[in-house]
Amino acid sequence: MYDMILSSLAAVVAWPAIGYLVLGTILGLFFGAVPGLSGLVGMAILLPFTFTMEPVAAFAFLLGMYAVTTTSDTLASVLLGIPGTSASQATILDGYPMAKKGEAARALGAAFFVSAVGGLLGALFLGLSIPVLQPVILAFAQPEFFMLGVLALTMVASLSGGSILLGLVSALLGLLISYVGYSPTDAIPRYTFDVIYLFEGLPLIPVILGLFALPELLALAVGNTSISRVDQTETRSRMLDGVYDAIRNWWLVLRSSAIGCYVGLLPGLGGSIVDWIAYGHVVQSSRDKSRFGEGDIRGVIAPEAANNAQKGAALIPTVTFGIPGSAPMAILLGALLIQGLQPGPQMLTTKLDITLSMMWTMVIANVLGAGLLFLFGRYLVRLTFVPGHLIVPGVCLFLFMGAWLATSNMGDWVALLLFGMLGYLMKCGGIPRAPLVLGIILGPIMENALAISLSAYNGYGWIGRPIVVVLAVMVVVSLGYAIWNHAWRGSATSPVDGLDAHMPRPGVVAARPVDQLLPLVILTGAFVAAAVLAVDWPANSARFPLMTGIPGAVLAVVALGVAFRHLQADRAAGRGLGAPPQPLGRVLHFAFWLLAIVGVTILLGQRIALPLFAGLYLVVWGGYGWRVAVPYALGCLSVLMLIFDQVVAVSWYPALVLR
Amino acid sequence: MSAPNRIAATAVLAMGLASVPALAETPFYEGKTIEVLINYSAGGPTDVEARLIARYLGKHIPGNPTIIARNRAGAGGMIGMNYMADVAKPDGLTVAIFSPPVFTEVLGDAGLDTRFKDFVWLSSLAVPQICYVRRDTPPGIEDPADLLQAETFNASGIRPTSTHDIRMRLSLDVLGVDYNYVTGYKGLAGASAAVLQNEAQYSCGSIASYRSSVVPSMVETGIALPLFYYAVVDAEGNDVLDPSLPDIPTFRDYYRSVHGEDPSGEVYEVFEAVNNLKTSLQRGSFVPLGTPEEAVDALRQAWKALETDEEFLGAYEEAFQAKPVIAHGEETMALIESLDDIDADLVSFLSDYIAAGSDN
Repeated sequence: MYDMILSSLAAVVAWPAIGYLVLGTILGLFFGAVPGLSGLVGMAILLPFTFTMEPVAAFAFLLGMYAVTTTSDTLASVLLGIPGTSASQATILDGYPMAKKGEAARALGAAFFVSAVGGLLGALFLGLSIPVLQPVILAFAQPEFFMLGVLALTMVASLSGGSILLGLVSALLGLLISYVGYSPTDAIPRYTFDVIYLFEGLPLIPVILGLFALPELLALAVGNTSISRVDQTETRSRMLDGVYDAIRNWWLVLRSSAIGCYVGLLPGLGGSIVDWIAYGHVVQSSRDKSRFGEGDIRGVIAPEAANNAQKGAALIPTVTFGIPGSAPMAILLGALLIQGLQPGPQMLTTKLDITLSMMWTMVIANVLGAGLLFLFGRYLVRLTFVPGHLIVPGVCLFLFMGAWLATSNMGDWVALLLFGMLGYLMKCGGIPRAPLVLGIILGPIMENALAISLSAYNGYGWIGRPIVVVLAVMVVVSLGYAIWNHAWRGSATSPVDGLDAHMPRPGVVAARPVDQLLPLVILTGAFVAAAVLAVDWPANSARFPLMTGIPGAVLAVVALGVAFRHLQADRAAGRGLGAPPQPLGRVLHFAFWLLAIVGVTILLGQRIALPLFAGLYLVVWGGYGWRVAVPYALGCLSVLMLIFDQVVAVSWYPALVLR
Repeated sequence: MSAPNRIAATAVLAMGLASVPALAETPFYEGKTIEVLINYSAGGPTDVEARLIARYLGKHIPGNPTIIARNRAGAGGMIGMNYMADVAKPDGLTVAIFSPPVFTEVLGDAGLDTRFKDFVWLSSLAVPQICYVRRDTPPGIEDPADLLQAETFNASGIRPTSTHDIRMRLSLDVLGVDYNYVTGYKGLAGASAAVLQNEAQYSCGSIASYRSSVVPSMVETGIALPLFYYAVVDAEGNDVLDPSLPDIPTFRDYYRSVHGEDPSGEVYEVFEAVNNLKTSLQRGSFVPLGTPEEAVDALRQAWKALETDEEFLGAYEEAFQAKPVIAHGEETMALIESLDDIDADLVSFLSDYIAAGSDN
């Protein structure tokens, strides 16, 4: 056994495998750092090149790439507030506020360090525990997945910041959005309004980019502040500080890595949820929650450790049972077959050397990836001190192209802009956006799992299954804790109900009650309409929409009532409405620029629209001269041509002129 | 050009020079780039197969064009179809390698802007499906024929409108067994995992998914038993045997062995029609109507050449655990034209049948 561990290490570090590993790792850092690209895209692009390689080299190439996308995705999440991949959405919540405070280097240092540690633990988990895990994986059938979804949904309480009410409204809206598309159990479309873009549901990435990144982009454009509100000379944040933070929080790193391993182990949960679960866990388990959402390093450590740990564990069901838990793993399964390897128990016996070489690949790639980022990260941190106007066009390019990569339809951009508007309204109104994302991700898992469970076990025949019972107890405990905690904290911070509207509330941007009115009215309308539309659908398809729409409408109306009371209290106290966060005129002006990108794209295509936007924006809006604007625009063009056209081979919009 | 692309292009070029004799006039594709369009997203089964083909197709086209693969996914493949009809130019530079949405075409969907016959088809690939059952399905299945005595079992599906589900239900109904249809699993992998977990007892999968997921974890471990595969029926009414599956009977052979006669009746006729179409058109390659004839000829020749390209066959067989079953030009066009002959009765039968499946 020990011989084999060493000989498989030797096989990985031997030429040419190590060369492919290093190349794969560098490509992986790139796929992770560019929003919209991910390990999945990387796998699809690299797979054909492995056809002619030896197995160890092929997996060194593929897994070296795959292992580190969740290390480098932190760059965009922390520095720009855009998730680099869907596995680092939660990192934005505290990572980006840290960048605003000038502490980007510290956040990145912690993130890279715990990514490597999490990745190592995940790989070790893969290596050590395969033999004992088969019963665990097989025991998690659809009823257990449904209960896991319910348990994850109780995380809303932790992700809501100050107001559980608003958090619930947000989560229910997320669930509602997840129902768009063909019903999983009936042959009927739901909420598609005959728009074929919606038939398969809304893709996650444009929605996330719109909700989180567009409002931040707007703030940069309107405010022209650098991302860091603190000057470079005033901050002493170093990457090494982040490492110390991580070491101080070693117990959290271990717990988050364990969460990552378990989520990775269960096929079908995947990368887009692991960060949220880890984030929910750290908020739930922390005594002092006051700084979450405002730049708490623990909010960076938890998701970043978990998302790398998840990857090693995700290999287990793929390699040993041939059950790919996610799309990248489905490709890996293909790669196994191409190499003439059958997934199954023999991967632990006669082919154990290959499995161990995969583990070593993950170990080396994680360390190498983090090491490279430590070397170059500090140069990238400088981005956060650059004036906003110089950042906006570049971020805009990656934002629009990131969304475009989802399906390469104009629908991606419409989704980006509409959810950007929603994200802006929610941000202004202090309505937490994280629960919405949780709802979108959990909706299909829960709905599908419940429908299958009801059908496969004769109704509720599954309710007594041992793991279901254990999970149900955990749901009750988690809910009870959330209520107790909220009541305790609520009584401690708001002695007089209704008068604390302008007092800083933990985790929530101090919002003006007047800004809550518009989004809440829109949401109430959406919930009511959704419930009304669902009435005629077959039971299986109508169950979740009704269970979401009706309470959603009720809670949104209650939230409206609360907002009105706050308004009245403010008026009684002679406080007025307060200043709006951004002047509306400038906001609309910027929205017009974004619409212009769409318009020019329809006419002339993206390769002209985006560089043109960059140049004109810098001159007209930023007040820079042509000597800055022209090279910048040319830079944008070359990014589009080199990265998106040549490497990714993106399908461009077929413009009316100049195809 | 990126480094990987350049390597690929150079390789393709080098191989192409070796295999294609010099031509007197400049070949149509000399110095050109062909865009291979895929109507599902990166990483799915359609994408993996199309990219594999795209990689080998170029070296058989005179002029050695560069080939790049792009995805245009969405709406069950319809967005790609619409793109080929509305946007792609008939210049021979955009070639679709799709999983054509056969049932959207047959049942008629307002979202589809086009009909299959509005394209010039180059070829199609057939992928048969294999059905299997757990041996411990009460009262126990020792022999494939025991399926008929089984107590009510769960058959796992993906989506009521998917051909996987429609064919699975039709074939079980033809056999006359007692089953409970459970659908909504995530892909063939999810449906087979459900059988492994004993949440369902019966399912079907393509050869690739059968060999990669079902054989190692269930067949070799004695958990499940393969029963039959759906074969295409040719013009003479004979099953077209799949060379990759010598040990498993076709559905008709299985039916004969358990019932002692040929399957017949309305449900069977619908099954045969549905299966013929879907199995033979699992993947299809085409270009827009009006594409220059020399381009069409060059592409069709390249598809034919793939059948004798040992390197391609080796890679395909390793990836999909089966030999590719390719139909060419006229054969595929005949298949597409047969879509017009499908009568309204069958269409309404299918719509009702799909809706009925959702009710339980």
